[in-house]
Amino acid sequence: MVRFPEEYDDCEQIIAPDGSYDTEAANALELETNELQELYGSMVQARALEKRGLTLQRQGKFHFWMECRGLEAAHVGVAAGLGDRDWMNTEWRQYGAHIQRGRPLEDILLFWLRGYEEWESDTIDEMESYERRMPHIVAVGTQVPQTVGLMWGRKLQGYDEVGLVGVGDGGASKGDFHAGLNFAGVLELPVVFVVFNNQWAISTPVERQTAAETYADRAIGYGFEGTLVDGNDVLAMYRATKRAVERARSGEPMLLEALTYRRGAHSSSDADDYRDDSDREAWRDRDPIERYEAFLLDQGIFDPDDFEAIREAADRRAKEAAERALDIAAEQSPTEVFDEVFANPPTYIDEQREALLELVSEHGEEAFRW
Amino acid sequence: MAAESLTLVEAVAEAIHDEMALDESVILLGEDVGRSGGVFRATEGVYDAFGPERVIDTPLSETGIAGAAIGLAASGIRPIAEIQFSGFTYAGLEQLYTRAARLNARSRGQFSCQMVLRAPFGGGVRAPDLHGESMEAIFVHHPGFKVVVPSTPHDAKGLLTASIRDPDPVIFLEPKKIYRAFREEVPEESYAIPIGEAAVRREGSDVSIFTWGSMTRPTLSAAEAVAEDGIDAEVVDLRTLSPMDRETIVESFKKTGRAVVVHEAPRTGGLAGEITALLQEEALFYQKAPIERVTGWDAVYPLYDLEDFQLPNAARIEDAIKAVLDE
Ligand SMILES: Cc1ncc(C[n+]2csc(CCOP(=O)(O)OP(=O)(O)O)c2C)c(N)n1
Ligand SMILES: [Mg+2]
Repeated sequence: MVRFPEEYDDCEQIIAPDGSYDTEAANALELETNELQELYGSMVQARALEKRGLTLQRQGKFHFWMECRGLEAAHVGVAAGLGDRDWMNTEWRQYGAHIQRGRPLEDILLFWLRGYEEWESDTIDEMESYERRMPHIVAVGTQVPQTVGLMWGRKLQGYDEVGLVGVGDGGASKGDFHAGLNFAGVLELPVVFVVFNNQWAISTPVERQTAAETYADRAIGYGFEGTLVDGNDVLAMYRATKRAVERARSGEPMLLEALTYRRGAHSSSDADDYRDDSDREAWRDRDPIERYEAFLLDQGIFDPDDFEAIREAADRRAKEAAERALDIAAEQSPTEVFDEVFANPPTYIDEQREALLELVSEHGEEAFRW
Repeated sequence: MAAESLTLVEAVAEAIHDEMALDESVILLGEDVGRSGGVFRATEGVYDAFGPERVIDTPLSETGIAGAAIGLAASGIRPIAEIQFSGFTYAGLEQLYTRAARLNARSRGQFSCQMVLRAPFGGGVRAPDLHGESMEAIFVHHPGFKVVVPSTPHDAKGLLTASIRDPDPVIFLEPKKIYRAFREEVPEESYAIPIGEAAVRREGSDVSIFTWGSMTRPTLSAAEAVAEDGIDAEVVDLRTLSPMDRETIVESFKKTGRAVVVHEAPRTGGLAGEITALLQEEALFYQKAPIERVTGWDAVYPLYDLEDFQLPNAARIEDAIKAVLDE
């Protein structure tokens, strides 16, 4: 059974699905106009990037795409709640979170083209906020104890930084989830855990992951607090994250559950033929971007023409970024296979690199393409 | 040069202690490694010297230990993680395979995974299930790990020191059967033995025997025994299994033309197969006889009294030496 935030008494919300909002709570956020605008821009940009990514995937230019439609508020909201020096480790579909932190779009796209990531800054000290992340994980859930270790290490080195780690409703079934939260509680580490409960793990619904009503309730088992938030309300997500980050900074981890719904397919390889259209419709009525538009209009921050212009600019940026990413990826050389397999590589890696180079020069690169 | 007489397990504790004194980014974590000094006392005295900030008894979770160690390494800390017995590494394998061995590659060198995962390894102490595993091959097979197995106190200290300083994730497997089997003079000051270099324990001209860890001692005994029959065996202790010292292996074989590989781990898919293939590729025309493998049987590790039949012993090794010389 699909879940909705309004079924829970204690689900945090500022903007309701119909666009009406709690004025007092919104004002208490003390967000400047440009900050409110930025949240919108990031959500729209994430959706535009997805549109572009899926188009390119269908054209055979991208290998794969994980879909994020409907999840933009949860992703952008958590990123907005972090400080510049804080860390954010996510899985792969949280584009809006990275956009909100200023990560170049082509950098996000390149992950799907090359499978590895690169950083501009040489050292952690020099890193911009968007660089403060470990590379994406693919084994879901493994990022949870890793983030705990990361923040433990930063704390040992005297840094006052918080780490936020996102995991899915499916990934939260893994032992890593338990290990990570348990370590953080025992060691009093500055970590915010976010379960992006989008109610599906490929074709498996949330009630097949857990018999509990919420993920937020699990926090009590680790000795800290959890809260349930309407994941389609960007302001509620921002507020909950900011509060959790402050608490974590004082050594008390916190668990957030963002209750949302994955409206898109799981990925570009998913037929998405296992669920009711009525659920999707019900959640389309709770679209995070439209809901926020109602708020922005009412506040006089934007008018409808602005929305149109922002969407167009986002589409254009996504298109240009994709072109740049494809150009960069086209530069790959076959011997990158061996790059950085070891920090201090054994000599046989050089021998294998030489062997591959020789084969390629003998047979031509085309002979290897399939 | 001041020296002291240490067992292998004492040498492990000393290497940890010395590196933690030299580099304050080195920390130790694991189950019961702190106040108690570890179930084998391999971290004895470390907690007293460095306190609870740097010597951490973790909750009982190998996933947590391995995962946290990876994150610590990414943050700039140099963690030494202990897994209480190598068989329990299975519980942390996902973290190790999917992340530790790949972090450097997938971040193109931005985050190296400079960590050591230590575990008492191999059989021979009549312990329960999962306490006698020899699982070196599974780590050697995955690109990105370094795999080290000392066989003497001197090497244990020098190799562990090098492992802690190495920028890649090192799986450091400590042959627990010989943790306290003998003492050896070990320099008091800190020193590193380079990873990737084998040690020729006995020079010989008739046959090369390749081995590591606790098998080194019965192999040396066998070599001495066959010497009485006029067979001059060379014993090569590989010490590092990834990267393997291919040069020393191949050179030794070119000299003798005959080889025996000895390991505790099961035969099928074991490293003896890898070493044999290496010799075929690099030195086939030097070969005078089929290569013999003396290994653990392809059995789920047999327990207690049955262990006697599982672990290669000097008698089996002698037979193999004679077999390759009979050809
Ligand atoms: C350990 C692991 N098992 C299986 C998979 C294959 N897989 C990829 S995504 C996914 C579902 C994940 O669901 P959830 O955690 O809810 O995250 P979401 O996809 O909804 O973002 C699965 C099973 C994987 N990547 N990692
Ligand atoms: Mg999900």
